[in-house]
Amino acid sequence: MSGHDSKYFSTTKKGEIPELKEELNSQYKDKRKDAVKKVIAAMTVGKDVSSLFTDVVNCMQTENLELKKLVYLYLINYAKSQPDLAILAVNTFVKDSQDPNPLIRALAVRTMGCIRVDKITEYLCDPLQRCLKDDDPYVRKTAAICVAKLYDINAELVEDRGFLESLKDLISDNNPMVVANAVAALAEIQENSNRPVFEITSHTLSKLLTALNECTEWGQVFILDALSKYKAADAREAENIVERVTPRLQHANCAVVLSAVKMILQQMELITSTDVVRNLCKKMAPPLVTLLSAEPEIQYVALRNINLIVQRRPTILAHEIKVFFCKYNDPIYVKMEKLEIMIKLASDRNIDQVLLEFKEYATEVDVDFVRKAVRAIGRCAIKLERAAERCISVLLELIKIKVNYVVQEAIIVIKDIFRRYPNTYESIIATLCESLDTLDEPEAKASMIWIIGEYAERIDNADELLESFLESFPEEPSQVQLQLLTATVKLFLKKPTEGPQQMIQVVLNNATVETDNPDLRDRAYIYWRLLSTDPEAAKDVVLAEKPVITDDSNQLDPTLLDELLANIATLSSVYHKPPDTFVTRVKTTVQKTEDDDYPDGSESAESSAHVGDGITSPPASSSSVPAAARQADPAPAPAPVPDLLGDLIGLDNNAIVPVDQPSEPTGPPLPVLLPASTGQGLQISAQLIRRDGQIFYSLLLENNSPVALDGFMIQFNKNSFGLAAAGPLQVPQLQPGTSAGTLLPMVLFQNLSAGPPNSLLQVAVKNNQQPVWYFNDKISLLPFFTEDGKMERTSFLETWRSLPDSNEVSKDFPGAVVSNVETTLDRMAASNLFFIAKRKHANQDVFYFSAKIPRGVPFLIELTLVVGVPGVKCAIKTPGPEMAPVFFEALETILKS
Amino acid sequence: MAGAVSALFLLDIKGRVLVWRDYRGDVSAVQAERFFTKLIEKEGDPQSQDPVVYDNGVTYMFIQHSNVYLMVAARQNCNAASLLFFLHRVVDVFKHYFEELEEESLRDNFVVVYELLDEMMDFGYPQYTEAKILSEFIKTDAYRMEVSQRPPMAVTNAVSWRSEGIRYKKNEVFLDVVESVNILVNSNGQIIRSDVVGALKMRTYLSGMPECKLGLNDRVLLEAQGRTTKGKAIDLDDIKFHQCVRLARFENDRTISFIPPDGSFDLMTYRLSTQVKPLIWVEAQVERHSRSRVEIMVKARSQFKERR
Repeated sequence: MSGHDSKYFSTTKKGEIPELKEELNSQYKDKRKDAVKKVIAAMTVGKDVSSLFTDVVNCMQTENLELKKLVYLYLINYAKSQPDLAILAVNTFVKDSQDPNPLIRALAVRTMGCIRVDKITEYLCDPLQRCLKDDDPYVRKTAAICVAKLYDINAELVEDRGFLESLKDLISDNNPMVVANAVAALAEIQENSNRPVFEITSHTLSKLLTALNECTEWGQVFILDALSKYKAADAREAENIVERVTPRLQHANCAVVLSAVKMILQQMELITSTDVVRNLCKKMAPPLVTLLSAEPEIQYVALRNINLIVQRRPTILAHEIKVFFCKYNDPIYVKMEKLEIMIKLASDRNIDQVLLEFKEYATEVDVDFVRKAVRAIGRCAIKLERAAERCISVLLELIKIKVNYVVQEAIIVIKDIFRRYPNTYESIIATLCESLDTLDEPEAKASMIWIIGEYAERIDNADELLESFLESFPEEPSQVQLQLLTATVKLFLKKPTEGPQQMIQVVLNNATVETDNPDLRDRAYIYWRLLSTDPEAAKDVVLAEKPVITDDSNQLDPTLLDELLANIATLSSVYHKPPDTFVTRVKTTVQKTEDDDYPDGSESAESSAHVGDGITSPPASSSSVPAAARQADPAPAPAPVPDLLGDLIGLDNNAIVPVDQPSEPTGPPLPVLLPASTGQGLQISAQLIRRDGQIFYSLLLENNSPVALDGFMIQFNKNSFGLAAAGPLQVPQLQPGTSAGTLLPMVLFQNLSAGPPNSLLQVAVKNNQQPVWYFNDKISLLPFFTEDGKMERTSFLETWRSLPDSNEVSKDFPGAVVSNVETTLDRMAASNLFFIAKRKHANQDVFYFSAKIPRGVPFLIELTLVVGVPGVKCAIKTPGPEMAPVFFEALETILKS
Repeated sequence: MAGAVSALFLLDIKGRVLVWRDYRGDVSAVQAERFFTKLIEKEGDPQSQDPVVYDNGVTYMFIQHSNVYLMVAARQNCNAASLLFFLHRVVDVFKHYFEELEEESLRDNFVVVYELLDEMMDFGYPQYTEAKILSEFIKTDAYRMEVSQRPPMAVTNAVSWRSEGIRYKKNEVFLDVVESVNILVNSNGQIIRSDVVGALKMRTYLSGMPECKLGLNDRVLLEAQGRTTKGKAIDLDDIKFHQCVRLARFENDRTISFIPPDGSFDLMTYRLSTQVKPLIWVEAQVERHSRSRVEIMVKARSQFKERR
């Protein structure tokens, strides 16, 4: 059944549009149809054919279904750009939705839902209402999805017109396909709603479990995904559910299998009987294994999920490690994931076999895979004490192959093994030293030098070995220079003979005089002073015993793991990240009130609950605003006018939010950003603040104008931090002479501007009575510092060392003075700048702090000052040095407050 | 957790859009194309080869088939397994329609491609992928279009894979068992892992809505019936059934009962991880005698028994 449509792509360039226009208006049916095909072909290759809108729409009224579909397709693409003309199509749509042919009825409703034009949406309601009750299940199943479409465009309309109720009725539909689509639509609406829309009761549960047996494979996935949120009342109910879901494990569609696994794992948490749990584990193993014979892309998803599953239930696949052995023709992304799981499943029982595999992989051709394999051996050594020796002997064998990158990788992991098992395997150092000359990667070099320095007393020619590196000292990367410096000092302390003494002179000279790397210079000076004042103390410091390391790499935090397991099969489980870190859809509603405790553990519900608490807890008054009151608001907020505001300020119109409810502001007075004189009587003060781990924009609006103001909306221009409103601005109608404050929850990384970071935040606020007001705010970094910014001393040191010196920025605050260390520390801590350590340097005090901003960017901070004397010097090191100016601004506000 | 994709793209080998269907209007073709062409360019970077990639708020999932990429773009936390599997199903449907899915056949049939994309997915949710039934109401030849005035019952029926009213003069069923052996051998010639993946391939030419039952010498079933299991009984543990098999029934009493689709399909697949000897053993030896002479000896030995 092959077509010849490609001819439609080849039209004469010149005069194309007029020509098409003529053909579209031809009196011959066939010619018109051909013309529409040409238009669609042009649209497909990306040409703009929107100017033919009227002519194409004129072809809409046809008996020919194929032609109708093409015109509909055209409408979906161009209606948005021609909203006024799109109204021309409405009549035909409405007529088609009553056509005797169910295919056409469904097509009309399906297409209307895809046209995101407000005017059309109004006309969609009646046909949709009819189609939801259509006799034909094909029309009903299409209408069910259409409700979700409408909700996406205009949620209010869906609620007002009672579509949610009709949709809920469809859950009891006698057709399983309709049920499945209704479930999908309800689940999506629930995700974006602040009210309990889709509650799964035990009654719906049993209905859905029955439908599960009869609907299509895709429908089964919708139902299983929706049901996995259901929390069983007790172990018995959980067992019953599991029993009804287990047969799905035998389905040929792997998505059905994975969703069934998710649901079983969720219910297993409640099941207390160890026999039942063991039995379930046994039942889940074979289907999981079979997923690995699916297409490679699906294997990848399966492996990412198995990685999570084995962290929670290691027994399921404990005996199946062999199925994760890589095949020669596996794509690289599958191999990498398999390796990760092999490390997780490696045990004393199977380590020999696993090592044989790793060794094999280490001789393959793909460099990244080989490196990962070598590292895997090291991680097994660190994980399994009894197998460590075998792992090391494999590593030594690999070193003997003398493949450059294998050797270097091996040396890096052996350094870690030494840290894990001190004083056990040092006999192999001699072998390592043989490959000294071949090292050319900084990390490998640094590791080798660390080993030499650490074990200088056992290496006879340690001085010669280190000396060979010294010649090229100035050219080495800073990572290697730092290690060389430390290693030489260790050598000197261990063997204070003439050779090392000369070496240390050279190194210290190099590291203090010749270098412009402050990190290296500082360290060199510290050593120098230590050595010259008190060699014994130097020994205590430099040769101090190091803590033993453990293998906790790639282990997820239990609460994160819980969340990810609830999201099995989804993108979240592939990324190993909670959904809210990558889902970019702007949620229109965030606030959540007390009576919303629907049985739904979804992440979105949790995060919005958090926001809600943050808003309502400090002043008790606003927390009692029930959802019902808000709905009964006699003057509902007008529909947002994204184009107006968006066009004016030139920003994306994705974050426009309407206004409805007030809540009290707290804290010190906010800076006035829009004085009443500029704002025709409206005064706005605002500031970014942090509360309960969330960023809010605290606003106070005062109405000094003679008229009541309402319909407040807010919009943020693109900014360096991508700050945007996470929910609607909650401000009621403002009578003259009154004021209202609110906390607007904010999200980050939504509308990022390009260019180097700056602190400018442009805000636009509008209401129904006045023109749009624009004002600028300064973004302070303070509210961005997260609660988890505290670092351990060791990791602080490591991070400090690992960052190149180009990442260090310093600044003087001549005016700042610290008179009381305690209060300053408290103030810093209150802003999530965590105190790490303090030392004295001459008459100055040096303080170290750590802080972190979202996306895990750490700041390491060094403050040098004399108590009571003006002048504070601050140096920071961070992976994001471009943030430094903004950081210093933030710090200054703390120091001067 | 509900999640749907924003758009589906069919791209050529260089990552340029051939045909695309926008389902939600929040990912543009330009954006997707720009990202994907860049992705293909930096081949070799292992990170970029993952079939699930995140860029600037959008997740892209893709598979390749001959010289065409099929890709979905999503802004929500959608079901990755389901969507990647769906893409493979889309390939099957296109192959059913155009025999071969490639750049040319997509161009030649872009009208049908649009129709199919509209029917197989709605608002980013997979809907229906039974090629055989789809071809009853979406046809490549336009004139036949007029005939079908309603969607086949099968589209929304519980039996979504078979149309009603099929008639054959002669009712026939063919059943083939096709097994493949996977063996992993290490460089020392040791067998590390071996398994058998088998499929029961059926071809049915039956009238009406036939109820079929298949009996196997399943150890569990035989034991339940109190029959002797010695000798030929097999352990069915890791099995997957075609969607036509009533899974709940199988779970209950181990009966494989189903209403088959018309034509050929895989009724069930299974995996046995029993020890298998490689059927043919090949050994190669390379010997360098002098600078100009190399001797390569390849020995192939069949290790399976003759069947009588």
